[in-house]
Amino acid sequence: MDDFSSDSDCTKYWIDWFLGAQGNEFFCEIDDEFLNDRFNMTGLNSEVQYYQYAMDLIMDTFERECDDPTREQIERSARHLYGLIHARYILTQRGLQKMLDKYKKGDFGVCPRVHCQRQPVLPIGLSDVPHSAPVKMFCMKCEDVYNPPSVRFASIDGAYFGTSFPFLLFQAYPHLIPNKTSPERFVPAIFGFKIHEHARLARWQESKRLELNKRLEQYEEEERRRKRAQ
Amino acid sequence: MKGHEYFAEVTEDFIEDDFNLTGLSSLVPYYKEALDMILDFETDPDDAAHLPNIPIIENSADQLYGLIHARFLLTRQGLAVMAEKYDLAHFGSCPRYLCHSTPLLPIGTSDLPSRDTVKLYCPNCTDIYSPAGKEESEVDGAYFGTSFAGLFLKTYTDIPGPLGGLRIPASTAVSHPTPKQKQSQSQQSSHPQSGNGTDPTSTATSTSTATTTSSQQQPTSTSPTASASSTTSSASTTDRTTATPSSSEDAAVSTLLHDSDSKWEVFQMHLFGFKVSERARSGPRMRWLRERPRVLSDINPF
Ligand SMILES: [Zn+2]
Ligand SMILES: [Zn+2]
Repeated sequence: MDDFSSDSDCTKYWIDWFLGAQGNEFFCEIDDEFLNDRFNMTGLNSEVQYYQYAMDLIMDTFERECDDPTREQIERSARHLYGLIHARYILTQRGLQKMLDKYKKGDFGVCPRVHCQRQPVLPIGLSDVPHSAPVKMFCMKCEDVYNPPSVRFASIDGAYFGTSFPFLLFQAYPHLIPNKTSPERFVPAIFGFKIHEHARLARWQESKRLELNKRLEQYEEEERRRKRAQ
Repeated sequence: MKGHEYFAEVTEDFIEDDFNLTGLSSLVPYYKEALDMILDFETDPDDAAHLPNIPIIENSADQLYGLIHARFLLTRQGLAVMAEKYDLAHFGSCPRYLCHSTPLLPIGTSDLPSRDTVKLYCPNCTDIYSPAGKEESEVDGAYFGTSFAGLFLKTYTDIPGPLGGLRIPASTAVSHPTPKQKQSQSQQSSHPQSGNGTDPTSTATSTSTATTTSSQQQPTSTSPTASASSTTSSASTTDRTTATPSSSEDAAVSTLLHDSDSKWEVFQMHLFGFKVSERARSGPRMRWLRERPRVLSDINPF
């Protein structure tokens, strides 16, 4: 068993099938190395029914004969287990890199907000606890969370991506943070006149933005002073 | 027609009234033939020989219909048809997670054809989005125009404005059913807030309050327990002439009170359970875009 599961040239049937299935476009391929390290699986055996069989299925080493309902349950467990491992994997350097490649290819889609001008988005979970909410999309340009446009993502658990992933990615790759300095916004108008209530809110929000800019300048100044003192 | 779900059916009366078509002949090629096609008139066989093939005229007819449609939407009748479609969420719902499926309104960023495709406006977050469907995302925005969404919101005042749960004081108003209240009406609509959070500017503008109150009269007379259909029946207060911005609008905003029942949520970035600090380079920079004043007095009237 160990002879071929550690062989990286071997075709990964189950993982390939999983990644190619409808609705699974947001997942990346987890390295063998990560899958083979039991430390990475800590705590998962209590979360997943038929844990060992599910693991064997993912690794293409499941060879037991069993009835259809059991087989079905093991299949389901394997998908759930892959998702839970995925949430951990994408927080590693290798995993981040893989998700970054997918992000650059636009595999996660774009922000539906007009003023974000088709900014690519990242998958995000609203909770790290499984079965809480389906996966959402996070846009770093407007810093907001959106429902994926297609219903096929409605059955994908957000916990398979987790709440931290997008922020870790931008912390690791700060040069990818989109420019937010010229904020465009929409104010509805009737026959060319902006609606008063909306214009008023827009002005209030603009004042909030200027307050933020002032705070940011202050942080920078503090940082400079700290460095000089050293 | 592409994305037909978004379109209201323009009445034949409206199309047959030349006044409603003023200026369109210069915007649409083969205007006369296109109009005949829309109205199902036979084209004179003598003329037919000089005309280009049918698809070109069909194209013109589509465009002409779209531009007539944009004008029709600004009439009382057009607004009422769109209100029905809005209640059935024919234009989809807001993709922003925290808008909790608020229905959207179609909007054009230009009134001239072929400039930009249709966008969708969310009355809750006051932002515009691209349609998710391919068909819909190719519809010309001019077929809806820049004014429709704003006029719609001014007409149907039971749709919450950008100041969220801000309301008319208890003394002058019966509460309006908002989409959210429609779900939890029993607890909310019975006790409009009074007293706390009064905007200090409301006294200053009290001279115009009379106008406000009367212009609010019709919508407020709607029973709070009536749901979707009430939107349509309250359609009548504003028409094209009174809908242009006037001084009474200032008062309409400033006499509203904050409703403590409704809470406004803004997404917060977290890394391993901790809020991402503003001091971090990857920290939040856009919260202002989604923030709302907590009480109305926070907001500058000018
Ligand atoms: Zn965005
Ligand atoms: Zn929204």
